Amino acid sequence: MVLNSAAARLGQAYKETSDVLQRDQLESSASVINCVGGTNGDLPTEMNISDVDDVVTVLQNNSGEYITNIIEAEDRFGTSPIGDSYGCMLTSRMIPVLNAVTGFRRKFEYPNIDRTLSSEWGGVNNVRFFISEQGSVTRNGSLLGNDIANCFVAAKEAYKIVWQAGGKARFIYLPPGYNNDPCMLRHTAGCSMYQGQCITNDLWMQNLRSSGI
Amino acid sequence: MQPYSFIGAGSYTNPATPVSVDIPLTDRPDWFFLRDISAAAAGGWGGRTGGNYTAIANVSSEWFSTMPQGSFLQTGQSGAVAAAAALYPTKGTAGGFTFIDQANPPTFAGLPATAINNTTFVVSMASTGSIQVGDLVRVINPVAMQQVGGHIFAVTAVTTNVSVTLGYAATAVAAGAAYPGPATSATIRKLSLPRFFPRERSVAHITQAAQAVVYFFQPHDFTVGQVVDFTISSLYGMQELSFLTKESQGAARVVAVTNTATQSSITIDVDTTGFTAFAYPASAINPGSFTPASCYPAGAGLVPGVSPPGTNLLAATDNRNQFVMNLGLSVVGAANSTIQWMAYKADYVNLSNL
Repeated sequence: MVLNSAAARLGQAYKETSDVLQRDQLESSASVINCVGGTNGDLPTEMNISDVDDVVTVLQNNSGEYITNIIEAEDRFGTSPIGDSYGCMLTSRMIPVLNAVTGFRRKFEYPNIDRTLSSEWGGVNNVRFFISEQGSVTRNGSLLGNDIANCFVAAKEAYKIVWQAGGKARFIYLPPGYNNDPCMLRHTAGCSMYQGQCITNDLWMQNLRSSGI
Repeated sequence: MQPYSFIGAGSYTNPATPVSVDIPLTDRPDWFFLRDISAAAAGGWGGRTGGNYTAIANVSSEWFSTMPQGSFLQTGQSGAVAAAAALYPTKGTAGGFTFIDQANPPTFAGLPATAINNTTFVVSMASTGSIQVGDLVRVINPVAMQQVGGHIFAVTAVTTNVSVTLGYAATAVAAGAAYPGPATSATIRKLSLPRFFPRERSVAHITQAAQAVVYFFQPHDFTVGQVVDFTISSLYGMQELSFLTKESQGAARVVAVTNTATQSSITIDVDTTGFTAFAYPASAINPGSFTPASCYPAGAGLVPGVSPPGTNLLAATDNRNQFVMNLGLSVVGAANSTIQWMAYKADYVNLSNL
């Protein structure tokens, strides 16, 4: 029972570690676009609909393909269609900023939510936003010293993760008696994995930086 | 793990002018210890010349995980004849031991600056805090010089509680860059960046030449043969260099790199003589109106001069984050001394004394 519980928690830790490594790689090397359409007087500003359109324009100019297809309008009250979209991965601290973007549609306003993820917060024009508390934040990075959200807007095939054969998650349990444990007092359990990640085309991955979080 | 596990040891030798040292570790230590083991004739623990012991303020230093970051306990050695020699204890709160998890780097308080010279990039500061040569700092809200606001600079000189010098920017100025200013006030905030390799860099200047030279405000990660691309907004000029990956000639290839104590630059195989000149915008353009010019990795390319033609793995993405213990100038040791370091890890640390 305890071991099963530990394995479950390690599984969560493993996947979060995998995500964090990918996040750190995008944070380090993705090209940068500042939000400039907001009104908070900082650089970058808080995200505005014009910034979303700017990054879509950049990706379109760079032949970036959309990741998701249009969600067509349906005859349902309070819903609106969502266009073909790029995916944006960002910190959950951006939720108030997203909700204030003109035209932003929360996921519950989609005509059809069959093809959405639990992490999806909503979308506007041609970008759908996926949030995580592990999202990238540059502390005190703005012109005025405020935190910056690094919002990674990806086109199809913009980046990839490579696993070597046998390199995906391993659960390692050792009974008492290992690791400086001569009196056989301690069990240990851990997980290990290795992965490589890269941006496949620098033009298809843009770090849209926003303050206001 | 036993009550105290010995998790690492090593030694280093200080230069004639000691600088801060980062010691890589495999885990967070609970006890970190330094001792000067220089040969007796050169000073060090118990060392003496003639009849007198060598006076050394930091012949031995240590830190426990229950102490604040940057602090230290220390033993000094008085310079006296053997019979009167003494070891004396001291302690401090700055310039000591700072443990850093590079994947989750610590943050530092901002320090006020009263001026930034826009040519020499000497930043006048009544308090330079813990800033040391080699540190990275972010310039926040530089009044009358907003075009460099938010950028990260490497510190190349420190005059304690007088000024710090951002010498890489001064080198860019010598190469033709111009930053309208000077700034009349700003906030300088020390920072530590995660070490995922290679990293994007803000561009300080780009020359117009048969092989353009790109300058940065801090040491860069780029390697010879690597392919790099640029995002340059219209306010900076030289937009011809932006997003070259999608053009028929492809993105720029790095043919030479320079990373010295005051210059950070790469030479690329792009002829920019006919391009629009690269120039930083005026301060008044801020706030909130543009994206800084940046250079970022775009793949591995052919290494110049290699036969048969080939590439290398130097540009490969790499997670270089690790645990390090930063040794500040108060503990790093005397000039030219050899220092032994040792790190220990406790099985548990009881903070309540119960």
